Amino acid sequence: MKLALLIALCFLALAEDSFTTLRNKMVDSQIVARGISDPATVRAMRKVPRHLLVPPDKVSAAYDDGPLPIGFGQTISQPYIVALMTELSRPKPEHGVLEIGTGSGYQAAVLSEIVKEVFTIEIVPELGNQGKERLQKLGCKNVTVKIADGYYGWKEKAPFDAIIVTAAAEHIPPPLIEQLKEGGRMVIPVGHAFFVQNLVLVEKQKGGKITSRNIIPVAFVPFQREKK
Amino acid sequence: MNLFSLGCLSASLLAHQIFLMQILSYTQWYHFAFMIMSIALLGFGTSGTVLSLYQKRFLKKPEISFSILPGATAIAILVTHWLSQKVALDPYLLFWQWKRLPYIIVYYLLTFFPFLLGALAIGLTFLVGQRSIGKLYFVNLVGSGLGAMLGLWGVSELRPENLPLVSSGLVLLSLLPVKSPIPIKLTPLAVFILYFFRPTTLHVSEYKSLPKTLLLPDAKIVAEKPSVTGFLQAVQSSALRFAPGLSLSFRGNIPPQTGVFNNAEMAGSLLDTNEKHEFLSYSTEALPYALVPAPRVFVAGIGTGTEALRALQGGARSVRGVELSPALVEWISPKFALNPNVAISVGNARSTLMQDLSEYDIISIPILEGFASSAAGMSALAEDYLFTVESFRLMIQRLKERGLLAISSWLKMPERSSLKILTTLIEAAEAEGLPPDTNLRAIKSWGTMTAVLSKSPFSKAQLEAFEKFRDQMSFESVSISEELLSFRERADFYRNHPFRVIPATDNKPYFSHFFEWKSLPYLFKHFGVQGIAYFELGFVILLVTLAQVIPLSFALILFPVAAKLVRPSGKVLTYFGSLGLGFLFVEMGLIQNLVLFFGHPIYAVSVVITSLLIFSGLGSLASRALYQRLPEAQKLAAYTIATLLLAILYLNSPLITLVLIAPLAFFMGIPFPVGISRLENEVLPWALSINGFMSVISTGLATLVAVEWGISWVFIGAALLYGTAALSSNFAKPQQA
Repeated sequence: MKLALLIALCFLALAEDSFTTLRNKMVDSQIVARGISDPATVRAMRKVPRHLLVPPDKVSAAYDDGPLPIGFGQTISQPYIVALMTELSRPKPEHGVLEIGTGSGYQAAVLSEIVKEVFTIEIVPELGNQGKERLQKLGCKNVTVKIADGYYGWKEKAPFDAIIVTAAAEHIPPPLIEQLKEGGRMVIPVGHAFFVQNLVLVEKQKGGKITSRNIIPVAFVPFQREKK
Repeated sequence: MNLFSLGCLSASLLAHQIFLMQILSYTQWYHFAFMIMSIALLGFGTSGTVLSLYQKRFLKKPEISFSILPGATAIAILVTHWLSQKVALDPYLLFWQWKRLPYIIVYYLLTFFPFLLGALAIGLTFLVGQRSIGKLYFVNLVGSGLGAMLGLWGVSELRPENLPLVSSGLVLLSLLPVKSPIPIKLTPLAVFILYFFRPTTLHVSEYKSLPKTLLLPDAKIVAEKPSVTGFLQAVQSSALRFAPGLSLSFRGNIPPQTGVFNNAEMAGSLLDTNEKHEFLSYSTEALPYALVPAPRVFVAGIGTGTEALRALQGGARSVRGVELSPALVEWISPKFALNPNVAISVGNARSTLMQDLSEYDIISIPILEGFASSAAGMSALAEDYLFTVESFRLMIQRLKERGLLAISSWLKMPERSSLKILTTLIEAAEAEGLPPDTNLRAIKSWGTMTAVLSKSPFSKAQLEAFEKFRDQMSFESVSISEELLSFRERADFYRNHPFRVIPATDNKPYFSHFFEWKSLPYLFKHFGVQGIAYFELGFVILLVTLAQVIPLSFALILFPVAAKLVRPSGKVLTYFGSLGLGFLFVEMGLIQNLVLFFGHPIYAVSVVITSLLIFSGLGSLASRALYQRLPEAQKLAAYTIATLLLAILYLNSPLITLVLIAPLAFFMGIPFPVGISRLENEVLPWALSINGFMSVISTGLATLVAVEWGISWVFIGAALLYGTAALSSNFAKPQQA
């Protein structure tokens, strides 16, 4: 019996080891190679076990260079897009970050490795509960999940140093702009969730002036960017 | 099969094509519908190949075949439709995951099967009744014409899931006069009754807007309306807010709205017309109202009425709006019924302005399509006579002395549609004698651009108002490069730009087509292979469809030859191939020629298809008598068709086209039955297969010709094809191997 348990543990360790190898390969070839250089972001991407956040039938594709369907017309974003959005939000250890669209929980898990607190809102109850469960299993204690309409943000916890919106919209919700700290950054994909979206960076400058920049087109499939 | 059965079956198959297009457009997207239907219609050609292989077996007991085949068609229409909704078809995933390929192949087969069975019954009828082919072809064409009408009626009156009941029911009607054992008649009836009481639920792609919106809290469908322009549905939810391109300066509240979905994609929202909606003024689209006080406004494509509200809020004295979708007009008209300053009607903006000689202070084209379809290039192959140089010129002519033409669009990355609006405005302005450097201005937000062209140079007050509006809304000015403004340098700019940003014209009315072959390396380098599919989807789908249909067709045409069942004849191949290709080329050319005249594509399609099929039917009916008196009747008919086509092209007048349709179609009905009657029985199925396959190829090919070279070349192509048919019409009767 003990021997069987030992063998099973060995297999588990080997499997984890192979996922770690895949993850590091993913970070090197898909993220660092495409110009993501923020050390905290790269470190977090190396650490978060993406394979534990995808549906069971998608585990083998967890570290592929693309997003994966998670049901309800939602996807777990391509690793590169998660890294890019994280880097663009310029996360710091003392930051409080709001995420709209918990989905699989992957973006929140990556942020939780870098910042002090992550508040994440999901509108689809089933997805929100699944995400909450996964994040708890991963031990992300600094992440709070709420099932609500993310359009209004999280007034009680505002203002935020950064806001990351992972669900696409056709306009930038005014309440989110309100809840952004001066000097804060919001990253939001604008457009249809399944087609080409523009990744927009909104900055609230000191004094409250708002500026925006289109960063890149993103979509369900990965667009291989030139190496910077 | 008797004439009544043949007519019902022909009508059913054509109606079913229209129904499947609508079902696929609702559950998936239009361009995938086009691809899937092209494969399904190969069933017509394949029936010829099957008849070539097994005609002796079919002819052994034709009466059995004539009852089994239509019965099986009636069942197949419903059963394959039911099964197809169980297939997890997500064609978009195909660009990403090749393992999705089996799903699409299963879907192809399911949609293909009813057409194969129905076409087998029709082909067999032609084979058995070859001597009276003129009469049979007449019934086939007239039946198809009525089927087209019935198809359009069904789409405008019935929910999509009920449509297959109509096509299946028509096939059941065809069985009435057929003598056959009771079980053979009752089985399709039983399937029909079962489906009637338990219609399948349509599986709408989870990635379309509607299913996602229905996941929102307390979301519910509150109204539905089938329509020829798509199935309209209205959804209410406390979390549904629609404010495309909203300014970052807006701090107010956006109220929950009733979302309007056309074929399950968001088409806009219905706002309460009794309330003020401040957020409407926080968009680039509000720019013209900041520049012209108390304007008389014309809105081209009023959609859900948002632009009318924006204009009224902006101080408009009156608003006239036109909208292509009659169902949408039915929904929004009552909302403005109490406002005497708003007039909304069904119609095409361009045709309305051609007839209406009034002058306006502002003519506005709001953002017409959703961001998604716009960004993915889904409308690339849809003819759009609103966004052409000629159309913009007409709008400038309908402006008052200090009037503004305002055009808004989404900003696409990589930039192309906003740029093309500017190039079209510049060329239209120059053609009307307006200097674009002083009369054209544009602003952009994070997601939208609005360009305004003034009939007179902007006044100082207007330029100040422009800057004030831009700064208040946190928008930016769009700088129009010297290269674009200079006539000489512009040609180089078009040539060197990776996308097609040269303005669309009435001869090439494809504003949303940005694909240039030279874009391929650019897209590939910057976005990988999927980028090509995503940015230029409409055109890519057309190429993918042709890449599937052409080799499949030729393989199946040549199969009976390779199996040594038919001795190949180049002239038979050329003659029936040219006729198959030519008929659809003519159809497409005529529709384009008449779209502007009728003001709505649906009317143009209805008139062209019905008159072509009915008059061709009459030509077919007269073909036997003509052939008996004139042994070269088919050759003369083909030459006459070619001449008439060139005359239509040269005269370029919708009225003349309307007059010439009847004789043109009459002659078009002659070459096919005369050709068939000259064939030996063994070769006839091969000719049917050639004609069937080429008809399918021609739909995509005619679109490709129009997009790449212009609609005039569709006419020239059709004339050349009929000329080729005339030259190859004296084929010797091929010998059986």
